[in-house]
Amino acid sequence: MASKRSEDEYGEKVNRAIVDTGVKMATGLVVGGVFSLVLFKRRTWPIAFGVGTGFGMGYSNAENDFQNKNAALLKRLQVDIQLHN
Amino acid sequence: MWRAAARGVAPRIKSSTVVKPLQQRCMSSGVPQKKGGKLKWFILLPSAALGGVAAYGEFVDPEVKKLMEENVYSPFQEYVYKPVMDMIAGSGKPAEEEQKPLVKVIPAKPVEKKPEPEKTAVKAPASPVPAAPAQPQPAGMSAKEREKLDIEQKLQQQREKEKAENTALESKLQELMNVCKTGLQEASEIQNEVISAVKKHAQALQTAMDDKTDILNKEGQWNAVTEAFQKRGVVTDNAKKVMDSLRLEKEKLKAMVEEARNNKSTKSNKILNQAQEAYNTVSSKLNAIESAIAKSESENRGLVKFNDLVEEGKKKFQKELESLMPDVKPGKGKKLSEEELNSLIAHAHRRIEQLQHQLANHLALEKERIQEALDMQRKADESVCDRRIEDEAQKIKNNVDLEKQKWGEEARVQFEVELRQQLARQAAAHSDHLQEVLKVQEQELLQKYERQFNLKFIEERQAFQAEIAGWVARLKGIETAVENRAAAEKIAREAQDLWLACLALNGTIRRGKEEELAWEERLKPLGNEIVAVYDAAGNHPFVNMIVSTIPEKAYVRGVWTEDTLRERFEKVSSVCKKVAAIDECGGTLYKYFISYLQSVFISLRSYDVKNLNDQVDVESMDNFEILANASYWMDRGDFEAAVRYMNQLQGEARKVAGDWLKEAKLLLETRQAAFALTAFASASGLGTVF
Repeated sequence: MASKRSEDEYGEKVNRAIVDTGVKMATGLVVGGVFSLVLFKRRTWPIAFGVGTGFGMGYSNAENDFQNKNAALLKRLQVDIQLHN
Repeated sequence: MWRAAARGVAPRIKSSTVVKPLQQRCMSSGVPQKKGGKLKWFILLPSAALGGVAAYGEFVDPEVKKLMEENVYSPFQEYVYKPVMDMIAGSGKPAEEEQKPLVKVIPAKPVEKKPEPEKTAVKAPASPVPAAPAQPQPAGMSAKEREKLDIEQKLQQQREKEKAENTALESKLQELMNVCKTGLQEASEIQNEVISAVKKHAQALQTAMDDKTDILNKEGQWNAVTEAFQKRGVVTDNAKKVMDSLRLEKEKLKAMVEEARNNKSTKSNKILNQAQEAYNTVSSKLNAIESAIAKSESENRGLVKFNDLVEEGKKKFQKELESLMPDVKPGKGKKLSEEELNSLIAHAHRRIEQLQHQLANHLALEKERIQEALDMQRKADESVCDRRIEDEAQKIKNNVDLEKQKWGEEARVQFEVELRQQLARQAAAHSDHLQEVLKVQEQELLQKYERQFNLKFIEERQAFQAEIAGWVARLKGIETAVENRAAAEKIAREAQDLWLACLALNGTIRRGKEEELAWEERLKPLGNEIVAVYDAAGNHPFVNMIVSTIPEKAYVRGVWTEDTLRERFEKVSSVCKKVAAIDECGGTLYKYFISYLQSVFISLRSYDVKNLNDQVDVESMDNFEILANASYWMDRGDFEAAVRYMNQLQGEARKVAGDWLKEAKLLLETRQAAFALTAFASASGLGTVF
């Protein structure tokens, strides 16, 4: 199933992002729930916290996936060289 | 029913009003059918069939006629017709007429012959007998030989027939001769008997008349005379019969001999001579017998005459007596009266006187009478003599004829032999001469022939050589032409091969593996086709160079087909559109989201598309314009233009379209090479055509 076509990578990245985020959010939910149940006397805020944490993690993963830091670094260096020259 | 129709009512057709068949009608009318009506069919039909078959056999098919003859006509003839006809005719005549067909004499044929010595008179003049006997010839003989054989057979038949005739004749003649001999013996016996009878009769008569001693037995003597006379008559009759029959036989014999002499086939039968001799003897003997009998008869005739005269005298005397004495009947025992006696005596005396007178007369005329008698006798003798002489002459003549015949035959035979000898000698001389002449001629002809032959031969040979030279030159020309042609064809063939290989390559590039569905699996390595092209080109540098430009990936893995790339382009262009605003550094999710939003609101169709020949300022075009152009040209089918535009993408879009671009570039390169090769192949092919 791993399609090596370059045009599919974008779609795959998006899929991964969504799935990842969803999983993390669900995990956060569960952990938050557990925490809420266990530690925090059934308050709602650990769940929200968990979900949010999950979402945040997923989002940052997705962003790292989409970004290409090497190329950015290279470009900056090129610009710098050009500026220097 | 029609009345019903006339009335205007629908006609009702009852089943009972259907026309009754004939039988029922007749039955209903009370006349019964003839029971014997079938018999005539039993006779008519077979005869009609026979007649039909006979007519068919007559006019249409002879085979059928043959069959009919075998099975129908001949049995009918044998078992029905012939017995009936025999019964009608009474006695059936034997069908022996087939035995003597008259064979026509075959006219002369110029064939060497050896005539047979004894039957030369039998054959027609110059009818040949071929030297080879009538052996059964092989089946494949010519018409001439067949004719010969026919002639031989006919002659054989003829000879056989003659033989048969001759033997028949011989047997008949032999029979006749035997009969004549026996008849002759009989006749001679009878002759003796007759002569003896005649003599006896004469003697008896003599005694009866002259013998005066035994007067008392006159009656007895006269009886004896009559007896002897009767016997003589009987014997004479017998003799006559025998001689008549013998004469008949003799005549028959003579006739037969004459006939046989006239008949060519039996002319020279030896038995004829024998028969002739026999005839001669028989006739001569017969004549002798007859003459002897006549002689004895004539001898005794005088006596008989005398007896007759005496009887006559006696009768006269008696008459006179009666006239004188009509009452007296002699033999009666009545005594005669004196007158009567006296008259009787007177009459007797008168008679005596008369008789004495007569006697004196007679004595006087005796000499003359004797002379007359002698003359008569002489005449008789002469006639007898003449007859004898005739007989002898006849006999001599017959003998002479016979001798002549014999001599003639002998002479003929001799002549034949001599002639044959002479002919043989002549033939030998002739053949010798011929041989010599032929030898000389042969030599001459041989020389002439050799001279001419040599001349002709030399001529012919020269002519032949000249022709051959011409032909050889032509042949050489043809050979060179053919070789050139072969070379040209070889080049053409190679060009064709190359062209075909290029076509194959093109086809593979265009289609790939058609049966697969997934795009990746449609890739077909071009290795085989390229190798084929390489081989077909021989070692052409141009081909080598071009083939070397084909990227290795095409060899090994194959190229994407244009169609698949087109299909792929849809997705590529849509994804590119989504990330069009992002550069190669990638971007935050936010940027991606904004780019996506932008793409939603932009439609590629809103861009003006540049023409192909315009100069394009690549820097000024943003991704969207590029994509618009590319997709426009892709839709219009210009793959190359689309690829060119897609190559101008920047940033993330470029990365996204990277694979596609790679494949597209590969395809374009390979296609270019393939087209170059095809062009080259076509060019070289065209060169060979003209």
